[in-house]
Amino acid sequence: MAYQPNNPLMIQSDMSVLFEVDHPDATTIRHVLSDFAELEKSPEHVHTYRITPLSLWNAAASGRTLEQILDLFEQYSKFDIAPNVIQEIRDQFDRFGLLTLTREGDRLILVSQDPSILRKVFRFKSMKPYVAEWIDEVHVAVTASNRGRLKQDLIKIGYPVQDLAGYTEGSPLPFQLRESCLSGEPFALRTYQTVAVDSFYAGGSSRGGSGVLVLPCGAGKTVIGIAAAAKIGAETLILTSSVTAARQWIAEILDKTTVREDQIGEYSGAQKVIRPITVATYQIVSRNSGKAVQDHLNLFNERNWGLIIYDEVHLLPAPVFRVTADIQARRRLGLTATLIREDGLESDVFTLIGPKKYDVPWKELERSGWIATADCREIRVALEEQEQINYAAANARTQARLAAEANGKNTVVKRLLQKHCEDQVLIIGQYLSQLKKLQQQIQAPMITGQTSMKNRDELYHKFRTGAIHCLIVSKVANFAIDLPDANVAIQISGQFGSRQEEAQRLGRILRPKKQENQAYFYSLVAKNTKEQEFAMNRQRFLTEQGYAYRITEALPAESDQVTKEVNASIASLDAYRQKKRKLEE
Amino acid sequence: MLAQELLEKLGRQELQKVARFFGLKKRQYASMNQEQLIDALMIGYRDGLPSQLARLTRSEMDLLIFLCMATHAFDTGAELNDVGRVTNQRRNLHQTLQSLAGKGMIWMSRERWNAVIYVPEEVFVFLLHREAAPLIKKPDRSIVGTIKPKENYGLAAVHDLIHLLSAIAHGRIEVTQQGDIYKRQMKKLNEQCRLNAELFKNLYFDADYANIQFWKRYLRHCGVISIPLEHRVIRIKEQSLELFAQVTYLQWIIGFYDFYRERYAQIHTAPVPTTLCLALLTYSGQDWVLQETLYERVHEWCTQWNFYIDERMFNSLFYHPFLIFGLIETGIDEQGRAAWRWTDWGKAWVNLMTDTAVDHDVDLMTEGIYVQPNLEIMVPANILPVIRWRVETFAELKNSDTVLIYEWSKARIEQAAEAGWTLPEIEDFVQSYSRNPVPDNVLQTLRDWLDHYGKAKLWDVLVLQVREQEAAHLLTNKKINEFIVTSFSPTTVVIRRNDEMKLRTLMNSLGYPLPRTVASPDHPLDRSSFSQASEREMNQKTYAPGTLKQGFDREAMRGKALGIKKATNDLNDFDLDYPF
Repeated sequence: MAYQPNNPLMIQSDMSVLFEVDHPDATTIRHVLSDFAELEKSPEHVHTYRITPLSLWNAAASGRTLEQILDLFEQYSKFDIAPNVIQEIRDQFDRFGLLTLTREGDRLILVSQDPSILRKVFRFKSMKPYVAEWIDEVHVAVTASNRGRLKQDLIKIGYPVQDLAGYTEGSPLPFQLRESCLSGEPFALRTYQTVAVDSFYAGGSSRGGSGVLVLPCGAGKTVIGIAAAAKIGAETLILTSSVTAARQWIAEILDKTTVREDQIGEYSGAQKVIRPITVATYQIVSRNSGKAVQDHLNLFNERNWGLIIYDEVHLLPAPVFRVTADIQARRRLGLTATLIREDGLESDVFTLIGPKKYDVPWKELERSGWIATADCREIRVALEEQEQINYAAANARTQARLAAEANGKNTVVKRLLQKHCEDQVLIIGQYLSQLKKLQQQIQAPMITGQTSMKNRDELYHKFRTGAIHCLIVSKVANFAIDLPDANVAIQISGQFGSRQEEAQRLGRILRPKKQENQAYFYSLVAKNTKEQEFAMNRQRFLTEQGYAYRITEALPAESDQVTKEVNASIASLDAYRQKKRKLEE
Repeated sequence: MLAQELLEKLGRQELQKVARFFGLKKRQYASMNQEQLIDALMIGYRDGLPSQLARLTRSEMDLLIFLCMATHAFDTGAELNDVGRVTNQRRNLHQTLQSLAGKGMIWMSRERWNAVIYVPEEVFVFLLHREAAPLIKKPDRSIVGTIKPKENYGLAAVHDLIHLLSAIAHGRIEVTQQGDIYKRQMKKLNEQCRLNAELFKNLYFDADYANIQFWKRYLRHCGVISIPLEHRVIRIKEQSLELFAQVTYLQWIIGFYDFYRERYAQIHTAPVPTTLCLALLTYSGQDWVLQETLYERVHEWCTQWNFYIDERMFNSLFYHPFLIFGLIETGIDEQGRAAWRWTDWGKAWVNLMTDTAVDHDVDLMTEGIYVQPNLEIMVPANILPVIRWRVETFAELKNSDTVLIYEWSKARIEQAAEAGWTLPEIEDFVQSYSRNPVPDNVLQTLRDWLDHYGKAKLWDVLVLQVREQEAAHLLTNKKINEFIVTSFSPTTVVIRRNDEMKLRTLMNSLGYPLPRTVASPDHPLDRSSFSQASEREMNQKTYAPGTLKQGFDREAMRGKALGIKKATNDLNDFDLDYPF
């Protein structure tokens, strides 16, 4: 193959594929490529895909042939392809189906047409405990309760198993999606949502039924989860990251499906109701109070669930990981926008929940108008003179805190509020003291971990209805909070360099807007401090999703006429309120 | 060398001798002047060469063919020593050579201490065609089934070379007294190399990190690096590097291959018909060919001329280097037999060798890089070397493959700034070669990194302090004043390090001799790299009582010097007067 400068694919010998997305045939190429390679990064111009054994087995399972892959490379590769890549793809295709796991009554049987493969596999010390009985040279009975761990260990030793043992159907719960919501608005799945559900369900066969869907925040993952549950038509356990998120799920299910209120239960700190559809929180199932953990984990076996949905699957806590390994007979669906775990356990998610079944670049949904267009800006705020002295003298940890709580940020927040006076603004921060100080200055309502659920729901409701246009939130609002009309987010501090947090926070404003589909994400960063480095790391995930950050510097407070005006107006407003209160008294 | 050039070097008598061999009658050439005689002989070279060659004796013909097919006699000349070493005609070699020279078939010149033999190009071309044509016409062995690609190293060789150069430029590569890179450093360098040491093992007796040794020797051979043994570090010669980076990959590869062959010849001295083999290679390989085909042809030819070339040597000299330099790729047919074909670079190389096209590799090169907002720079491996080198200046390599992935690095940007790069120059470079608009956050990050760079500086100076007020008048002395750069206080001044010896002499003459040691908050061991004076001081301290004990407790000493910790009794008489 000669060097083809106009072709868009660059295939690396480490099995990654670089893809120039500005190519005229980009859509066609992406369609095939995403079937056998996982999207790793999607910055503006060159996307990175990775071919993994799992992705190739999935491709083989979904009917892609080796020839189709090689043809794609032949037609669109810019450079010669390293022979090892072709060889590896061939090998993995050959391995697909080498080992299969089937069910025979209550027993699970590991089958291979080649006796030497089974002998090789069970020569590994780690594999020996799984053997229940050698039926013959090509059939080995394994213990059914170890299905998840067996699959994990087989992948570790390089022998993936095609799990054809099927799933427990679960107690039936037939329900449908409505054609119009309770509010009267018409409702139908979007094209990509239908594709996502279909790729998970796989026609009800054992090829589907377990996997992770990766979609941007605001792309309607909840709806996809509900649609998947409707398609399976069985009792469903949904695990979410917070009580608020759990209630949102319940509201969505009632709004968009024919499920009755008495069929849904909330299993949280507040109430523990188990019904055909139960929405629980990770906190309650993994609450660490001795025996209680085990009690709550029993929830997984409390009913004959046909589907378990893990919302925000990147947050999956360790006890749930363990339980998940034991419930491999049930269908499992993971939903996330950012499959980044700072503990590096992404691969465990794929093994225990299932492989990535669908993902789509954030920018692609933005272009189609399914999520809001986001304008991301980093605003650098200079430390005040005294702050600079304190910063220089502090130890590393304190320095991070001092930078996060720089006074200048409040001034910039005020300016931004003035600029977005007609928008729905979320102010997100890490430190309560900082948030409280800001609240005193701008007189906006605030939600923190200490705010009662009742107050939280009330404030969220007010924000959704537009009764309040600015809400200060701590990290409690990082995930799974549905505030569709929020279109401006101001991040005043964050958790060091957490990429996932930054992306989730941006996600709060990406829900499609009724009017102008535009969102603004401001990240305030103290200039010439460690926070600047953290910010660079935090932004990495979003830049890899194609978001461009514009970096500007905040003008010093004293030279800023607008700030003076804003300060004056806030001061006069404050004085007016106090005066009014006195008069009322 | 052309025949015309050869003839012009001959004297009248020698020309007449050649004329006799070419069949000219005495009455014909006796009346001709030198120029006319050369013109007449040139007709013989052009039109009557086959008949002239037919008149050579068997041993003359054998030697001539050997010279053409197995040495560089047609090109850069073959040294007599080498010819003697590898030919099997040792006994009559000189006699045969003299005879060939007398017949105008070779030219022997004395260069330095060795005789060098040249064959006229006309003779070489004729013989090459005569020897190679029948071999080329033989049918290829057929390949069974489809070929499964096995090895294709692409431009890994070029990558490794630049990686080594970059490591030398950005780090400090120390060498042993023999000029070899330390093994621990070679191990580190080897980690990012794409061609492993195993591939170069037939060039060195010690195969550990043979790849690094090969590149180091090649760079030294090209004059790009030097190893001044007194400093024991590898130095890059900037001007040579500048030239080196301007050369295209293909020319580098030619250099690599020549160097590889030379190195191989130092270890394996059996005769090989290199020219013939290369000619045969260039005529095949446009599509998959079985490796054994070519070997069989060459082997047949060698047997005819009493040569012996074994297959392993043949592979080591041709397929192996071509493979590692990215000129060929290999595969296996369905019967498990090895096959090969030229890559794009190989085809360009063949074109360059046979001179059938111009700009052989220009279509294979690119100038475009991808600057990504996540601070990555993606550089296709076929980038122009000079651009690649610039990217190395600013960014660190994260992954080397068909596309090299770099990441902007603060340390590298600062080094670049120290080397004289300014922010606008860096921005200009990126914007010129980026295939997409450079993301705003990348430019801002570069600005951030360079914003404070160089605003604070360290000066390497000495501080002169006088202890007592009555001695303070010394600092007002006119002669001492000449050395003073600035003063901290009336009793403490700053002088240049270079003026130390002059100042000592002056202070001696004024009756205030300075102690031999230069006081410092650090232990002399830590300062050993700064000056010779401190080295002397270190050596002196070695003999002082209780030194070892002090030497082991460095923290305590630093503590005392900086006044942080209470000094131990052992350190009481260790006078470290800290001036600042």
